[in-house]
Amino acid sequence: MNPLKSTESLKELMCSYYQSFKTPVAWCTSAGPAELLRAFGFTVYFPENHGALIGVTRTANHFIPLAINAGYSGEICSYLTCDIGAYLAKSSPLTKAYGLSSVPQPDLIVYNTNQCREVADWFGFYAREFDCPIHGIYPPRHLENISSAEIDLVVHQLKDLISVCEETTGEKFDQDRFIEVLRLSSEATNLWQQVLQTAKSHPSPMTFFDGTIHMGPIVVLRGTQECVNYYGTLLDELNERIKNGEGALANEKYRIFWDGMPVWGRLRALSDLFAKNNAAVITSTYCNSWVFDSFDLNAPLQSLALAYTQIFINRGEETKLMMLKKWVEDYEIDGIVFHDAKTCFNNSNNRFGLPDRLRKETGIPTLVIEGDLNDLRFYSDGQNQTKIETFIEQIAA
Amino acid sequence: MTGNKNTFEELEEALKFGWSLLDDLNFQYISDWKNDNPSRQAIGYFPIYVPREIIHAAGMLPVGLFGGGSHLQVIKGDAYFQSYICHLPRSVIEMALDGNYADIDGFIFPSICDVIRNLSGVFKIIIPGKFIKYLDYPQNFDWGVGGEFYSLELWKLQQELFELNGIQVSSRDLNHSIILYNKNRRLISQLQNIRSATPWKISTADFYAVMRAGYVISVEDHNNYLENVITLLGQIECEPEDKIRVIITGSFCEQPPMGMIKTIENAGCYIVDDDFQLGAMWIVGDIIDVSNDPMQALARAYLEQRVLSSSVYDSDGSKGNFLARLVKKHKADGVIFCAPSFCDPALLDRPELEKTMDKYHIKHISFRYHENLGQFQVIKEQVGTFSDSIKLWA
Repeated sequence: MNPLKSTESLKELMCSYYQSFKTPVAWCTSAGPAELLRAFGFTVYFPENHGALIGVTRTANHFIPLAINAGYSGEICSYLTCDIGAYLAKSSPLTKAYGLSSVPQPDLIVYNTNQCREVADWFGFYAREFDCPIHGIYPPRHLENISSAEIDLVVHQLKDLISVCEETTGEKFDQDRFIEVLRLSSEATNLWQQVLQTAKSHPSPMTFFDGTIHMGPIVVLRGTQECVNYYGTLLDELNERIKNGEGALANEKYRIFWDGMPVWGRLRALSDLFAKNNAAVITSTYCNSWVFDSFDLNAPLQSLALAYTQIFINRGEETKLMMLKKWVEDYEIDGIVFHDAKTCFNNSNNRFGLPDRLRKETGIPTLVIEGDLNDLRFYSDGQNQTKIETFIEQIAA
Repeated sequence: MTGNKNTFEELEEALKFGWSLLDDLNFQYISDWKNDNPSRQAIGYFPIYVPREIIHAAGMLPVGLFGGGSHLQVIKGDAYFQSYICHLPRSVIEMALDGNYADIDGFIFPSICDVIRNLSGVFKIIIPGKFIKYLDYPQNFDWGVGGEFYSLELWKLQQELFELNGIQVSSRDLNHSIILYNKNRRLISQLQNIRSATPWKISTADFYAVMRAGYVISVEDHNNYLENVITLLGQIECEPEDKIRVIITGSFCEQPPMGMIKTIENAGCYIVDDDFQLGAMWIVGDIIDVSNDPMQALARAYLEQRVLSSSVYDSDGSKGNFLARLVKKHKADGVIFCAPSFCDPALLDRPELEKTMDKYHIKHISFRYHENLGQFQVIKEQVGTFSDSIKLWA
């Protein structure tokens, strides 16, 4: 593996983000309307990022039993169970990583069910714990073509959110400020898109596993200048690699697409496993989830509604197939791995025959590996190693 | 037991009719209904709630689809889905592939959860050419936000049905359908009151079969059927047994096997309320049936007269209080949380509901099932212990 130099500035940036919390604090889902919240001066905290940190530090299985003990089922989202479990244990990886005594206390909690319904229950728990106002955006789901009525529904709800923000902060909505945040978010998300698209090069200068780490700022800092700056730097480094013919892997023979959630507690192991077999996992549905390319400064609220409603995870089966097909073609993919995350129904796209249909449409082999985003009891190293190695051998044959 | 022998026989006969419909996976009733007039069409819909009035007004037969339950051995369906999602989609796919839905001309998948949403996409693939509709519901209940969106969804649905059979629906037609379904809800409510007040007169299994008939037969037929059963129940008297009164919650979509319902009853419980076939009771009270804009009346009813269910997102804890009120209303001794395996909505709601039950000192237990579960011994022991503990120490 060829480590990216930008990782050092990434660490600094994430550290400074976690030191930055000051009242008012809003909690937001990762594909929620963070731009509106920032426009009101909230510092924004993302519980999913916390969930991922718990996963990466492989501490989820310490915390999940506490949530189960509190009545939550082990079959529901392990972000939810490990995060609530950590809260109940009064513990957080943020303490060791960034010196925070706990997660920042919310003044407002906002979620968008574009990704799943679980966020409503997850965030609702904290609204009750902190006795804090909560507001949900509920877009239509499972969309193929998106109608203006569907976007109007979301715009109405965003307007309601504006009123909630005004009430919480005591400040009037400042349209210019919102447009400025949206401009920064748009710039950052465009850069992030370009970063991901560098993987179209042969060899690819980055992998999906790099992406899962370097996506931190686009999740937690979009709408800030720091975020724009960071992706500018990262993009420069990747373009430099392309210029020098330098790949993320020493010997990239096969190009793999990853669908579904990362297995946070096995990023390194999986990265090494693919690399050892000269297979570069170059792109994913997951990292592309933070490409919001429809932001339009001339129609800020409408475009915000559209951007967050049209994400892959919120689409119908036919659109998902089309989107995957395009990625497979654009990135010249040799094989697709579907991660069937046991506790993440909505981001496991293998469950309704999509791998089969995609294989028929593209002729590209597909593999389903079973695991989970955070609950490693559902992940078998041995089984998945055998599956992945066999899969790569099949591609090679 | 007191009452005319003939009354008991008539009641038994009436209940048999409900059971025969429940056991008929080939929907003979629909075939007969269509044979009477070959231009007729039947529209299947999946749990939980669908505004059947719109389908009925279009001259179509709305048919509620729940899967094959314990009658069906799922083989092909298992090939489509992982073992760790709920059983309903596998059962439904099995039936679709086996041709059980041959007489059904279109399918509506209402928004419940990720499974049902995605199942609509799969149906488009496995039954090409048929009308497949995913019907989204608003989670925002302000008229200006969710109401307008939902009204548009309903108009769209009506238009799509028109494209299927060419029958133009007038406000008068729709109002007429609303009248019939209002009556249906009132009769169901009446039957529910009888069950709650005198659960020894009709078992929940039988009550279930009577209700379930309404998911297959026309609303006109179901109204007659309900009236008959209610009349007959009014003519009999039975002795109560020493059982506790429980409410079952969490079984609103994939249905529990009949064996499990009977097991719970046999283990010392009168089930005085449940959410098994929630769609039929989704709207509380009458929908306005004299409006110039009946579509708006239907949309408003969804927004303002719905029950609280796990398929509706809720972060303010009102579902717990709703359940507590049901406990009080039905004078229940306890609550059984009984959800299908891997049912995210029910499992996500459960911790908060349990907390509310604890707050009001309402006893509760929980377990899970799947629709073709065949082993009930553990449930019998658990429920039996629950019943005994309440009888002895509550």
